[in-house]
Amino acid sequence: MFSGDKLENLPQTQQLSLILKSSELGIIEVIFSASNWEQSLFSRLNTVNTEDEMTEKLVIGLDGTDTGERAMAFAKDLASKLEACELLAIYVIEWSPFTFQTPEENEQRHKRREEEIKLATTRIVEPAVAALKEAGFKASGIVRHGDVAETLNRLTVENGGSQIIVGRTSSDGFANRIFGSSTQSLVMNAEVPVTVVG
Amino acid sequence: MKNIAKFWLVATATALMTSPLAAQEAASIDQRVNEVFANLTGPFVSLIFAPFPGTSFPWIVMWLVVAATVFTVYFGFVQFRFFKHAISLVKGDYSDPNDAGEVSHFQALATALSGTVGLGNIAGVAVAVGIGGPGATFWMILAGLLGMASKFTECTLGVKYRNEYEDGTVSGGPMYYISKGFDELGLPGGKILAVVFSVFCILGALGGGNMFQANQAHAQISGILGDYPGWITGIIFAGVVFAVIVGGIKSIANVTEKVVPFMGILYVGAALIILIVNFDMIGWAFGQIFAGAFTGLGVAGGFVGALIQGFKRAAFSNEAGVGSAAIAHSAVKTKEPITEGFVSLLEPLIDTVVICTMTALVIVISQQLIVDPTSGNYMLNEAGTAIATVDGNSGVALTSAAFGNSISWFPYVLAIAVVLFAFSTMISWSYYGLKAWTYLFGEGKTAELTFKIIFCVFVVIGAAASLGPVIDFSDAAIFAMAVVNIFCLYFLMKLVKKELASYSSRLETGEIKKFKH
Repeated sequence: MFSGDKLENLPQTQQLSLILKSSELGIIEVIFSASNWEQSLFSRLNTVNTEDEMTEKLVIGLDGTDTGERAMAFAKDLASKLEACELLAIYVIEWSPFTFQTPEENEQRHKRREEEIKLATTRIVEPAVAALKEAGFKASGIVRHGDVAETLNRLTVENGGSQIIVGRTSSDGFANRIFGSSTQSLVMNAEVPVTVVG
Repeated sequence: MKNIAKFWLVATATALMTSPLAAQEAASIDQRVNEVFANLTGPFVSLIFAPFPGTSFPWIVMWLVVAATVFTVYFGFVQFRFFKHAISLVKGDYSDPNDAGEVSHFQALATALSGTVGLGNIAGVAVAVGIGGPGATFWMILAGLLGMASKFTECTLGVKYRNEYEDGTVSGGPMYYISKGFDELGLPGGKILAVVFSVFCILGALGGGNMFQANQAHAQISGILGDYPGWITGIIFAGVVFAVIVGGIKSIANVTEKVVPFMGILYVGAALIILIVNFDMIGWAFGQIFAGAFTGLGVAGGFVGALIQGFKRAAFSNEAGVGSAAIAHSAVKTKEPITEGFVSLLEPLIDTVVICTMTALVIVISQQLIVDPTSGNYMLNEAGTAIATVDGNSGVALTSAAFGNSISWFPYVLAIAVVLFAFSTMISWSYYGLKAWTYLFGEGKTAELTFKIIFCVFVVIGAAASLGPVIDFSDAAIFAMAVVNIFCLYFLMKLVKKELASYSSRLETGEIKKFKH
């Protein structure tokens, strides 16, 4: 389809939309046709920096598992190659407003929510942010409830993130087969480029 | 706690195994329970259902309908003006995504609905149509539409005046808004009224929220398995309820909460199929409903009889003005208490105007009620108290027969639905009763456990007693709640009006904005 060279020649906005399109369609040729896709991505991101003099913000979707760790490692690697770069670690607690609950559950809900947020912050997000800072990056973290894909995308857009890095779905259960995983949904619906780390 | 639950299971199993031997003795236990219960509750029931002097019209029915009408007019037909807004709220259009994880409007609505949708819609409607004829349906729908305004008033107050504790949990309901609201307005007696309400709420929880449910669940099960003593069903039910509310076995409650909505959908779906198959009769059925509403078509008490039955059953089914939903809605963490009011006004609509009407139509269309071919009027049974039915059925058995007429296997599904509905209503009402109990006796482990055990004992009594006394007491207790609640709402409604004015002006200026489009 498109070679890496051709991509480089396109104006900035079109480049981004092309990458997005290709990821939507699941066509990864664009990426692989460059000699080293990571490097080409890195060079494109750098172009953004030199031209617009803005800080790149990479969003890492954490899930508290190994794949989240791998997403972290990849993001660190990528960030180290960028000049001005900020990292934002996000953990979304899966939650839907359309469930059925008992009155007791409703009564306890506010308390539980605080507990869930506290737990996710101290166990997952804070250690991740600390690790990133230790490695010398500017980093921050967010914990939110909601649909994982939708919330991750919304927070990225709200915070001016330029791309999302997530681990591939860790489970391959029956439900995932039917309804698709959060990662699938993110890749299909995100408004910024998404990198899925295997 | 687990050991206690185990003990109950063993006790239940033993009771079951010995039951055939003790069957005769058991029947007499049922009889004795029934007699004692009827004698004890008689005076209370007579007081609540006392007719206006010289008429047969119970004052309590007038009380409920007048209140619903007053609220409807006072808030300028809020149930129609804010209907679309209520739907948007439930869809989450106005929910700040940063508040995600708190109880949503949908969840609050679903929880409150699972407390009201149930036997009232299945058995209650059958009672209404069985006594008051098809015309009762018309009055039921009217009461449902008006009741939306009562619900709106009480639920707004419920959220506005709830208690929020340091650990993040909440307690709310009429007892809280009565005492706090009266204080705010500088009116005396708030505390006493709150206490009186709480007492009635406990009785309501034990009656309509418990005994009636256990009773009708037993009627369903014995209808399929064959007749056996009610206390056996009672003990089994009590054991399961005990396991959930005392043993804290959440999985049972969780399963029920998830299955019940699907049962509700299945029920409405089956009713719709029957209506579609008999679509040529829908016009006739509505004709019967309208004619019956104003003439009675020969039912006991004429059109007034139809009206009383319709209003009574609607109030019992959707609980508008009773104050129970205010307790359920108080759990929602929202910046705008009135949004819960808007959401709650959908409950009488779904419960009464949609689901109850479906049941009534199916009963009318299935022609279970016997019509005198010469006069076109309904024939009364021998006692002259209700319309004669094909198999002499009443209550849930009548609904079951009506559905079974078109879908032969549906009574089995209905039996499962009734048992599950009964169970989820019991769980909801155990919570309402508990809130009233802790308001009176303080929040503590011992106080809570005492109430929960009393609650379980009443499950057994309810299953063993016969329908007549149980339904009378259930109605009386629930309406007694409405006496106090509505009396107080008249004083407190101006507080809601202030909220409504403030909210609608901010909605107009765009200060309250949609997060989703």
